Amino acid sequence: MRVTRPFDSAQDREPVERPVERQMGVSRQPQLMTVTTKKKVPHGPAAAAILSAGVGAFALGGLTLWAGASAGVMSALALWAPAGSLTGKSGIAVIIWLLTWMVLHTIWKNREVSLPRVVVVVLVLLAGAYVLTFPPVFEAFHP
Amino acid sequence: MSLFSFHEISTLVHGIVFGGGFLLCFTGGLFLLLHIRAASLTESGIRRCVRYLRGVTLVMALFVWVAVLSGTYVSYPWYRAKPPEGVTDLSHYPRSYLKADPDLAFWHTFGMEWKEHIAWLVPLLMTAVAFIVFRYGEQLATDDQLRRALILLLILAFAAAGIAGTLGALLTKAAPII
Repeated sequence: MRVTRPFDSAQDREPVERPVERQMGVSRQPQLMTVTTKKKVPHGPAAAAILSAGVGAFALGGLTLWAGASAGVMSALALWAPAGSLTGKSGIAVIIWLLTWMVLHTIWKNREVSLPRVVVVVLVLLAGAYVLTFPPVFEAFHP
Repeated sequence: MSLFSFHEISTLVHGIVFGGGFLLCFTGGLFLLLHIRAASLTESGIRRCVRYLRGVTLVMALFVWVAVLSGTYVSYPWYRAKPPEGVTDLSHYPRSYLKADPDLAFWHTFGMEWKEHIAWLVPLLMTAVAFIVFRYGEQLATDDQLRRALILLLILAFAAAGIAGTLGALLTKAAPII
């Protein structure tokens, strides 16, 4: 019978070196070395995934604002009438997200990209997306 | 006579099973991301943590995709349904019901309008989180920059899902899809 261990079982934590073991020269530290010596994957693929999510989110915000400002755009985005313009806004945003991800991943897949810089850009894009999808904002542009 | 109509059951599955499931998984995902650090775990601990993290982020991504797709293409058309000419009982037409009452119109013009848009940010963010967890695996234990970026994305996804979920629950109270 398989015995299920609790998640944070003692063997998962870094073992505490006992005084007797220290006297005997026993060290438990090398266990951790194998993790740090594995080949590091560059940050490019992660940056591509994060940035494309930000671009897709901002595209959704932009489309929401555009549809709010123009009745023609609103009806053009209604790709499936029962769900209205949400189908076009979300569908186009998803296509933009996937295309951006594909392009960025191809360019960055083996590159080391500055993750903090990408995260700052994404935070700006997401802040834009959150603001543009906030009804008082896009409704202010209603014709 | 059954307790719930087909529309109500579908909307419950959309909101509670998939939307609620995503929100419930958040704590586990966040805990694992905070916990997976080479300085405090052995190699086997990290491997186990990554296994759980892959599972929870995959489930979260799947749940949120099903939630937004079922919301947009199943529940939302019922919400938007237009009443036929001459119908005075609008209880089966939630959008029209809300718009017809000045005291309730806010729940459509603000509540539903915000919910339907902000919810769509979540699958994009969550797919990025799940992809990175699968691609980088055990490297997350030693890569603090990447781990912090993932924690931030997960929190932003949760915030958007929390807004959408809360508004969904309040809208269901104001004008249920029956």
